[in-house]
Amino acid sequence: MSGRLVEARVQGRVYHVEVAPGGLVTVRDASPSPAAPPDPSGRQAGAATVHAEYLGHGRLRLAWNGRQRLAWAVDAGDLRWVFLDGDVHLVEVDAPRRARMPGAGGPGPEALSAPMPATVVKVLAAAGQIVARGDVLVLLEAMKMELPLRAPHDAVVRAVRCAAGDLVQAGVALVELERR
Amino acid sequence: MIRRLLVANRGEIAVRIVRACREAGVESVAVYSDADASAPHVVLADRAVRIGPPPAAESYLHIGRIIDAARASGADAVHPGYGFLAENPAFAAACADAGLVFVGPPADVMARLGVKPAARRLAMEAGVAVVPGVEPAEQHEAALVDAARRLGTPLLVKAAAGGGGKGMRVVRAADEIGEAIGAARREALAAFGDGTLYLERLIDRPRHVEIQVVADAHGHLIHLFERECSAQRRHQKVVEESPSPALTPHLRARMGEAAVAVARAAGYRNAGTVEFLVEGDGDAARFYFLEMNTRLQVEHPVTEAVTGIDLVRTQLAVAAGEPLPWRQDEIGQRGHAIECRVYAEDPGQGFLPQAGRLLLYREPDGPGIRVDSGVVEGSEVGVHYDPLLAKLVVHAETRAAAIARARTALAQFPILGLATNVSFLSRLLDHPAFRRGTIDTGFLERELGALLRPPDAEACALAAAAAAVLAGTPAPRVEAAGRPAADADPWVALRGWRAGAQGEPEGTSQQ
Repeated sequence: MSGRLVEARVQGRVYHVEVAPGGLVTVRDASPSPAAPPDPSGRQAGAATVHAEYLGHGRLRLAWNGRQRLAWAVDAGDLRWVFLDGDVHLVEVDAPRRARMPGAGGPGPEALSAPMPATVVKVLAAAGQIVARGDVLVLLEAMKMELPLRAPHDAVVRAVRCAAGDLVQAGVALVELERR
Repeated sequence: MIRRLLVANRGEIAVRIVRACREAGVESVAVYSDADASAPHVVLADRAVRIGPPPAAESYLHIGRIIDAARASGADAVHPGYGFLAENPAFAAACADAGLVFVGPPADVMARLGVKPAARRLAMEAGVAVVPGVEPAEQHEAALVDAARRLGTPLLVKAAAGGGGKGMRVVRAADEIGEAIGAARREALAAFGDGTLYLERLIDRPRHVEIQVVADAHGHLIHLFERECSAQRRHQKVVEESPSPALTPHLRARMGEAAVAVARAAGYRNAGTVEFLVEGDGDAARFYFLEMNTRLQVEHPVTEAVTGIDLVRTQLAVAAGEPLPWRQDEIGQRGHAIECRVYAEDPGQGFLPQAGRLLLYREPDGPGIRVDSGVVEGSEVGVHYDPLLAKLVVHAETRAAAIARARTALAQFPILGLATNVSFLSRLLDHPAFRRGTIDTGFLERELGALLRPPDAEACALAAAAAAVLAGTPAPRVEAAGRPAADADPWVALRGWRAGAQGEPEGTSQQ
């Protein structure tokens, strides 16, 4: 498998991550207004080089600059949960993938929901609105992090079932879409 | 002699009691609501009885159904755990009426100590100082306002039938008294059905220090030293430890004697805890009786670690009529223990309780590390009950070593799928005031901002790397709802299996 380039968003920061064969990972901070991240590898300005190896059973070994750490992670579809040194990170990773919504592959209503209990910060869509894949429809907050709910594909918004300030539970439909 | 014990509780404490039963050769009966049908405590016990739908009022708080479950399963004893019906005298009495041994104090002792003003009077009769206050016989607003003015601010308006911080209001200035009384009364009525109020002087920067006591049925009553519980948020404890860094040996001895005096004056039996507020430092510190808890407490493992005494096993022995095997002078504290309560809540969202599936859950282990929990990977955490997931209890030679051990263990306690307070606990243990041992009960609320600091840039970059790598691997994905993760502990899946056990197959009766 040749190297993959993905965009990863975590804690309000945006990273461009290149995964080379053999597990060598290069991470570049591409945040709109980045504070210069500490550069553990010292190799490339604004980049970090990490060797990341999946050990199975949800465990990963991360090695950089002579140090190594054990991390744990699960793939929950749109989000990946990562545990490292006592902190939890929710990471959005953009990789080409099939739509994961129920009813995927044909016209029909689909629903977006929060991945965990969260507060609605902002509603950015309205019924009848035409949206493109990747558009942020609702902005949620949990664990002091922003969690954008994005259109998984081009769609028409059928209904919006939340408002700014709402506390919402995981799995409850917040936006209903119809694929275009 | 107890042969079969029904555990009238759920979650981690039910697991704890079931384990103690197994070790003592006592058969265990678990009860469960529909939300807990596959919960660890149900799967571990020898028998299990369904007692109702998820809401606590229809299950774990339903005295009739629990007594029926005891009869149906042939139990001869009941352990109430903590919370739920543990301090409900009507339940203790119902057990006695049904011929069941209740693992706890007699119902009338429980009742007396459950009314806070009565408990205060009992402490005073025992020669123990109480938080200065007044219990007005006249309960109309004018009388309460007058009493508050005479007591002086700052003061606390408290519910007589209360507990857990409900029905309480702080008053810092005289013009706040009327409103505080109204608000406390409304809350007390809603929470306890009783709007009777009393007033206490507000102690400045107090420490919450409690003394574990245990009494047998033969008049022998001892204390098992203290637990320091000042790391609290809205009267919910977060971290507890023993010994308390605030107590000198002289103060410790006086508080132990005071706790024993109160318990003896109450005619107490089995395990209980006397709570004190401590004001000041050193030998001259003042301590005041706050209340007595007539049950086993959440943080009991901290006492078990430093004294080497198994409290639940002791409770079972006392309930079975055995005498306590130790004299007071034979019990000591060794090393230092710290407990961190891991809650399913989001500190960054006002500690919002979480509901969801534990996609990944791995407990730390190693020397001096103990985890009491009622969940496993794949468990569904619901909204019906207390959000306590697990208790991480560490024991080490010194306080500094215990802090380091707890900190390391938290970094190896991954819980994914919902928010928890694990990183919040780490920040708390790192805080200079905690490390100095100088925190009071107001500390957590004051320092909330500092304890919610997000991870640094390097950690985020590493998380991005981990997530990107995961995307290309056969990593664990979300399992279908209700099925345990493929790597769940198989021993948990062995329902009620016992090697060499005689006779009856395990039964799960429906009610």
